[in-house]
Amino acid sequence: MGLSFLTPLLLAGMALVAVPLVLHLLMRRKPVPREFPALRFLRQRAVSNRRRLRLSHILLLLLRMAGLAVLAMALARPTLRGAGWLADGEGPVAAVVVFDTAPRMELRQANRTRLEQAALLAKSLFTKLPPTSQVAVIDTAGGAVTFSPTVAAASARIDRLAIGTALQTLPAAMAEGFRLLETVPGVRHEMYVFTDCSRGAWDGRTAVDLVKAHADAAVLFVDVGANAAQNFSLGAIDLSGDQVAAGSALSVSVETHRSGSDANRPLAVELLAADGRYARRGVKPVSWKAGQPGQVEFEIVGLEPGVRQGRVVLEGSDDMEADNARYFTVEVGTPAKVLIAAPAPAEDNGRFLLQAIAPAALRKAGKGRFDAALVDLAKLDAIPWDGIAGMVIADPPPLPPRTLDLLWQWVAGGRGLVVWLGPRAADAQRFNSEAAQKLLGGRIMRVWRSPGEDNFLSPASLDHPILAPFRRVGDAVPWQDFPVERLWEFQPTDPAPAGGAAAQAGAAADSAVPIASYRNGLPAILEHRIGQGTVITVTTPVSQAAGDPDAWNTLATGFEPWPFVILANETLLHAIDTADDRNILAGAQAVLHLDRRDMATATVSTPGGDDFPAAVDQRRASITVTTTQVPGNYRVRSGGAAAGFAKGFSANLAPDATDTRRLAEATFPAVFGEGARMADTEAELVRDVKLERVGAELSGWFILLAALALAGDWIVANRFYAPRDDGSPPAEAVAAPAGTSPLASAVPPPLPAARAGRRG
Amino acid sequence: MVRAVEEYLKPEVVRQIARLDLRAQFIVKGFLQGLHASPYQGFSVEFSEHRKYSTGDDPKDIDWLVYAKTDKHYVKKFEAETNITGYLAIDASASMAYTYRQQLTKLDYSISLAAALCWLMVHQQDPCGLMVFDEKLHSSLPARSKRSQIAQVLSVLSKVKPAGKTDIARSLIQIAAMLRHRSLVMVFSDLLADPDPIRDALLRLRHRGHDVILFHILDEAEVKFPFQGMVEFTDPESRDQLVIDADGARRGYVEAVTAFREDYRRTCFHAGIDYVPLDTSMQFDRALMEYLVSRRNRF
Repeated sequence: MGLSFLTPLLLAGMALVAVPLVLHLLMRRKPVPREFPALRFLRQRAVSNRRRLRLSHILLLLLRMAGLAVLAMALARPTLRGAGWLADGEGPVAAVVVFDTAPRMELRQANRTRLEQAALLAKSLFTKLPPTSQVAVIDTAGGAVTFSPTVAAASARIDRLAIGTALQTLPAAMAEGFRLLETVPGVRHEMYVFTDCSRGAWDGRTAVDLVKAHADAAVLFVDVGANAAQNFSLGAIDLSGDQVAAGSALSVSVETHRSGSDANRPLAVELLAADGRYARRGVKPVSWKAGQPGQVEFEIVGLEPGVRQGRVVLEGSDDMEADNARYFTVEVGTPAKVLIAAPAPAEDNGRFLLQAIAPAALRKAGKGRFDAALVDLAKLDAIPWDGIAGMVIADPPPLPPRTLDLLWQWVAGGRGLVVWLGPRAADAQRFNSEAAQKLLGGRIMRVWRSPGEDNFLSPASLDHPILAPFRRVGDAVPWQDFPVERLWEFQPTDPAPAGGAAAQAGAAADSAVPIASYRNGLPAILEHRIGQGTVITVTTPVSQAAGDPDAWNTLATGFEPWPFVILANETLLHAIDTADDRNILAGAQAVLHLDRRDMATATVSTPGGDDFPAAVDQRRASITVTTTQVPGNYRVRSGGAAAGFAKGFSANLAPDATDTRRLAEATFPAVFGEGARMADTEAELVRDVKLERVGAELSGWFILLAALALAGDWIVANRFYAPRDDGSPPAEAVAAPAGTSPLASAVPPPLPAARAGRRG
Repeated sequence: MVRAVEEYLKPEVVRQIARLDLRAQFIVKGFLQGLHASPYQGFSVEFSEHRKYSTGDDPKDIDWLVYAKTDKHYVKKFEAETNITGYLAIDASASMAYTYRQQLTKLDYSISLAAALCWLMVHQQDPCGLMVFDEKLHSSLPARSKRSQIAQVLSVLSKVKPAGKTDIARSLIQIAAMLRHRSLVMVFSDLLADPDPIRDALLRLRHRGHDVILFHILDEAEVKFPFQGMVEFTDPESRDQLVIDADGARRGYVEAVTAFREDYRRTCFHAGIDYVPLDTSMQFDRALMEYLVSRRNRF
């Protein structure tokens, strides 16, 4: 905040303060001369009176000077505003208007979406812009960042704004705006950010640094958030897996959140039928508690083989449509053929893995994920690998280079290999052959021993797809119940010691990447991409019997070893996964892999029913779809129903794109900056714009101050310079005060009794 | 009626009468008429030379000569009691010529009052003398009770011109030295001089057996200090000057004058002197009343 003047030239009038000073010095008024005999009574206090007289003279002089100075300042139109002395308040400005066009701006209140409300306020703002101002409209959808030719064009641009998947955050859009403003020097910079002040827009983000870095620009946040909306919101969707075996059940879970009052509203799960319509597969009544997140889970059974798409949808409507449905795509297929290779006797050493990956009960029922076969590791070369999608090797000894080369080539073709290292690796030097390092992306160093129960698996995060299934349990996974006493220290292939970034990137691609680690910090699970395939290495075995005194861990032999079962399944699933992007966030690209390379194009059907062609990358046998801004189920087809293929993916809005929960007021300073200016109505917006651009005019107050100074001058002057008279007595004589009459005050003297008697 | 009588006692009305003798009569008659109309009419008997005998009077007080002439009983002792010699001592220094916005200067006021008292005294058969002083006594008339004395006193008073500095103490000592018999000395002065010698002189006068009435006459402006703004004051006697903010000095001045008067009042009370503080805006009756009270208290 600073004091500035709209007509600073008039401040030159302050030089007039010299006038009373000169007059004071040159024309000192002489005191009125009078004769007065009782001078002796005045002399007693003459010194203090003279001092007071001098002070009064100075006071009078200062009052007159202050009166003139304040009057000159009042005429110069003083204003109070934040931009200091920079620019003429009426001059043109360069203004950037930033809109949040995320789906949560679709939230309706008073029959108006947040975006419509923002557009309305912005247009009223445009009417306040000085002529020849430059205006740019920026939105989070990533449109063109440039000044509109005219204010009318900017207004038309606002009319064209549409809700869509946000490609950038609001701070990023603001940064674009600041960069644009810097291209227009010499004029006042203004930025108006229209935001709903929601957690979705600002959680974990802040504009403080941006605003601080561009202190010369006046930034006004316009709050268009809804306080009284009634909204049912579906959050992130969670599947038990996006690849399920035919006949097995699919679990679909979705987060729920309610804004407004408590209410009951059912949720339904629907599958997309061949005719493009959704067929309902289940309905659940849901009791929505305001402000409390919930979780609703559906189980879908009887899925037919192929790509299946569906959605979880809210019945009825509410104040925001964008978060009323969440979509999913799964691939239902026959169990993948996998080999479990274990040292002889394979039945013993591979038993735990076989039971974890393909439980006997499920195999008999035909519901297993995998069609697993147990083989002797020594005879692996002798078995044909055609049709095998994945392989699990338990506790491998140093393998012959030929076997390792074959495995490398086989994996590179798009298959998956999971290696559980164990005691048979024994001699690290022998094990770490060049072919082995090439296959695993690193080498084993030494066996670490951690006696007792101090060491166990301890994943830092559950972001990796292998660990994602543990998210439902979260921190409750009892890893500490399955201590790991021994493990191989595995060192990923060193990146090139010297070289550019490209060389480092190439080295990293040939190196295994740790996915999870033990409590002691050493890697437990590593991933190594080879061509189209993946090798997963686990640095401790699961091939030792429960009673083996030399057992390295109890992962498979502990009490209820369900973490091991999940881990064994997920490592294999991830290794053999074709890595299709079946469920993506809207706006992200989806990559789908094909089994064949003879097709040149495919057709993508959008949720809106539009079809557009997509090129097939024949070298990589994949299709990349980038136009995924609209949430929903996308289908990708090519070659007809009989000989072609049909795949698909689902695009869902990111949870924050529909998170309309308002930020707590207490967090505003941290998000928008200390003292950030906020407006939420048109009146406030206009007032703030005026305050910021022109400032609060203080002329009235200054004139009042000047009047006070002049009134003070009048009072003091009259007090010290009594009207000069010629010494003649005034017309009205001063009467004696009441009660001073001697007759009235004198006590009647009593007469002597004797004389009174004589009078009688 | 009372209101009309009181008009005679107002200085601004008295000023309109040019002849001092008429002015004195005017004041005294106004005063006496006021007394007749007031509860204090008992004083009027003081003007009778003889009073008819009434039951209860001492028969030895009967004036038998009057009885012989008139065949009526009159009390004669009363006449003897009324003889009191009074001296009017008037300060005629330059400061007494001052007035700010009143009709009469302090000296005019003193002369009017003195003339009225002289008229009153002579008409009571009381001998009345006059002394006019400034730095010293410069004119005087011996006390007589003849009617012609009024004319002489008024003649002297009408010629008094205020001038020069004042030395009240010295003048009072001179007066004390001149008076041989017990007398009533009525001093008219503004007392604007060093108070200690004046006090001593008053005490000396009192010790010589004289009754003293001190008429302390100040101008109304000297009492109330009605000035405003910045004023350059000049002492008419010493010609000393002082520039001062009148508004700022008012309170202090009034306090000082009040203390000054209170100091004289206390001194006079202890010495048995009647102290009558007056200002030129006040009516004359107070001064006359003081005289009468003082006269009566002597007997």
